[in-house]
Amino acid sequence: MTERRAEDLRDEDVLDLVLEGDREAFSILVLRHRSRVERLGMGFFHDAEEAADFTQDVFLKAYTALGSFKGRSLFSTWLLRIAYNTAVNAKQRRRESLPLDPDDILPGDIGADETHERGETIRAVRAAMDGLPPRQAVCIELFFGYSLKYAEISEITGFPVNTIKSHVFRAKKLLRERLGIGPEVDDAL
Amino acid sequence: MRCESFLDRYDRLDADEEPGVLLRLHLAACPECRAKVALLKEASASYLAAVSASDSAGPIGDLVEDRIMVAVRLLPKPKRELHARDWAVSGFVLVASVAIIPFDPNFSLIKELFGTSYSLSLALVLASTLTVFGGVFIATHIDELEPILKRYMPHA
Repeated sequence: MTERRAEDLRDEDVLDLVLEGDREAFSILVLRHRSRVERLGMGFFHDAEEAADFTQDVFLKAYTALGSFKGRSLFSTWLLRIAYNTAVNAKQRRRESLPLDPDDILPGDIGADETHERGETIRAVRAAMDGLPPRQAVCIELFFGYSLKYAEISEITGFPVNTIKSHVFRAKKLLRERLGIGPEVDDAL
Repeated sequence: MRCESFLDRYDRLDADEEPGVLLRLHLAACPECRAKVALLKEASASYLAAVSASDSAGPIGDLVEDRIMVAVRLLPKPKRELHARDWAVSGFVLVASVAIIPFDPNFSLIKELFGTSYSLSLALVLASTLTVFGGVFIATHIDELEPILKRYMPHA
């Protein structure tokens, strides 16, 4: 399969190829989604090596369960749900109660060349995640960092849409405050 | 609509959700809110860009991809599973076919020729077929059926 052709294929087309017996086609899905799964793993485990093992575990689980993918959601949503459940179960198995470190789940250092907006956005998202249990903090990251809709986040995490909405709403409020664009009460149309 | 109320409602929008008519009207009439919304959008987009950049410079990289593909080659090939809906349709067709057999003119003819002993054998074969179908369906969908069973038989 040429590079050009692989790029043109949708995830669902690649899935069909794998289910028809082309194992190597699975590498296209790994290439496309590896970094997102890895980032989720970093958010939970704070360790690159563990995140690597986690990423491998998630993709192998997805591969073995590929036949049960019903196509009701996007493949990426389905994969993130496997990743989220794997991470939560691993944490529960180890009985860890450490809070999520936002530094791990969010982009690294804010360099001098970062724009004011970007820096403030990162700080605001971090602030919104502070104090939340890891499973809920992930909701905010999935909204801002993965650009997922409330329903997709709900499907991945199992939290009700309203719970996710309220966390994201709080994060947006913080973001407005940080950017100095909060509402002005006396402002009327 | 007041600007405070506008921003409150705007912040509740889903990712990529278009604002409603009232919000659009306010946005069109209020340059301050327009500027605030533009700034927020820009900030969110730049955040996403920062995250994507950190993705491509991930610490793990190709090594994990190779490890995954090595393991994938050792695993059995996945097979497409038949969805519960397809099973239900097949089951319905099977039951309907069994139900209409007695009304078939050929069936009456065969019954006249061979008597009731034929009917009994046929009934046993059809019943066994339905039982096997039901058994295989339950065995292959036990995970999906578990929540339903728990709901209707909590003490089971």
